Amino acid sequence: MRTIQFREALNEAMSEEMRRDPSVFLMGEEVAEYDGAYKVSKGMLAEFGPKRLIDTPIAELGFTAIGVGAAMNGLRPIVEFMTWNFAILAADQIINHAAKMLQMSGGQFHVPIVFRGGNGSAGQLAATHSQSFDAFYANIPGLKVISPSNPYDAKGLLKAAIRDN
Amino acid sequence: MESERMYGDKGEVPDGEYLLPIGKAHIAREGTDVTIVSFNKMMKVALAAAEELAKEGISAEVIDLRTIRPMDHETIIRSVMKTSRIVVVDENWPFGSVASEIAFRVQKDAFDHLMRPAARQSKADTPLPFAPAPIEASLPSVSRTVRAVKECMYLVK
Repeated sequence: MRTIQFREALNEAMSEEMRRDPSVFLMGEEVAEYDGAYKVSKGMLAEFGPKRLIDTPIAELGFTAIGVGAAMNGLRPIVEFMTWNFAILAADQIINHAAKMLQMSGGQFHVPIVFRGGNGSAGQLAATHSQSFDAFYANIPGLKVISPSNPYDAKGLLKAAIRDN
Repeated sequence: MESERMYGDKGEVPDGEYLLPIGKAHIAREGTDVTIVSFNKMMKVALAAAEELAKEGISAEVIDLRTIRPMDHETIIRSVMKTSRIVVVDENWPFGSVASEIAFRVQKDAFDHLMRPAARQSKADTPLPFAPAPIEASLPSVSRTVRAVKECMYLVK
């Protein structure tokens, strides 16, 4: 056993899955050059290069749509939201496209995509940046919602989520 | 779903590769008197409350949901059949929450085992304030969770 931080556990989960499967990639705001807003993707740009570690503009709806389209076409994207509070901007893509595409295409398009980021309150961030979305997204058929409490669970569940179809 | 407050938390992980099943909860602490269900950073509140209760001779079973959907109702129901009491500690707002979903399933599938209606500690039903004192008052806390458990056990009114 080793003792590591929560962010390192997430990093290991993504890195291991990216080594195992070339169709897995990570995109989001500041995930590449800056090593992630919370340093979750530290060192991953150096290992995997700019084609698989993609810095996006601050445009959640747009880059989430790119992720959904990539998943429909055979890739396995991980989309990092700086926090779930910002993913409100991408809710149309998550709720109407990622969650419903399999059913609405009559089973033709799977959308194996992982959306991840910080959730809930985190100090004095005020009302718009202190929300919990576990129940909100768990209300949507077609989505699975994982909300781990420690590094061990986070790593094992993120790896399972990346492989989940 | 992670937490900005937990990225620096440390914990043990195995050296080798492992996966955990989606949709399976984890019994983080075994107990016999009351079931406390929680997830994400509210697990810290749940476990600290269980520790406080233990000092007073109350044995709380703490379930870490790990996955919200699909929800592992089987593990929750099995625990409630043993303890007859349940308190859910949930950072979501109370309306249509993880706690209310669990409460529905517990009354549907374990009604005859319950000594008390399911209880919950949710976030206050308002946008979260900015100042520290009202934030503290709005989020589930250890002391209020302990009190909720004691209410379930008819130890306080």
